[in-house]
Amino acid sequence: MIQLNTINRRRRPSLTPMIDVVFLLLIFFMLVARFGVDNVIDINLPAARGQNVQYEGPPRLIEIKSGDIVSLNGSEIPLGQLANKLRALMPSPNALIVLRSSAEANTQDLLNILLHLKSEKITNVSVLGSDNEF
Amino acid sequence: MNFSKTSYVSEKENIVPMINVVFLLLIFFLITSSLVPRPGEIIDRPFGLSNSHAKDPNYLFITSSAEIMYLGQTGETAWGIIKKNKPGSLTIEADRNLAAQKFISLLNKLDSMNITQLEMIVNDPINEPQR
Repeated sequence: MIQLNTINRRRRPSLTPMIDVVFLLLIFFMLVARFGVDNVIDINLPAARGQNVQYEGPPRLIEIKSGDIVSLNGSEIPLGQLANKLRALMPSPNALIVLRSSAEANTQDLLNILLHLKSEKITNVSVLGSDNEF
Repeated sequence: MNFSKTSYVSEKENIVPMINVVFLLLIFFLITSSLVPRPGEIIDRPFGLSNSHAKDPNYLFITSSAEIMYLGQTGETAWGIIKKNKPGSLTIEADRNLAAQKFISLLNKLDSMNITQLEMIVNDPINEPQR
């Protein structure tokens, strides 16, 4: 009878496939990861304010145009002059301002006006529009 | 004379420290990254100065062509999820070239759904972050 020498060597599992997978995962997460925090502006909608605002005083209708031009009660003025012209029409600092968008205005134009009014401490703004486009 | 033989048998490099580092990096990226499904179209965020940071991870994306995306869903499906979930607040990432009338319409729709607290993501006009 032939007796073969059987050597029972402990075979270590190969780590290479695992390292491959780990590297792939690492590259994936490095590519999709986004660092830093997003800057935001707060928008409080009428339902959040929970109040019915009474309109007082002369008309204060701003129409948002494209670029740095806005229309106040039908006459076009540069955005920089808006706050001063508005204050002359406001019976109180908290008086309501009505904002409407023209067809050519984009979100940046709207945001520019909102931020400008906010910087001038004019925060009671109502924006006209429909909800049937979605 | 007795010369000792120099052994040229190279020892295997120890890869365990490298694997440790790679695992640590992997764990770091797993923890810090957020996998929010984003629309295929690139969104150019509007510019604006703000000191406050996004608190709400509930992102609503709206592209320049007025396509909305919420939790990876678009169109009516996305609106259905918003109606069902009724999130108290949303973080809106809108394209700066989106028609203002469409954006106002979006705000009105969210208002009608009693979604009261909104945050809008803006980019610093001076230091625009890289995408």
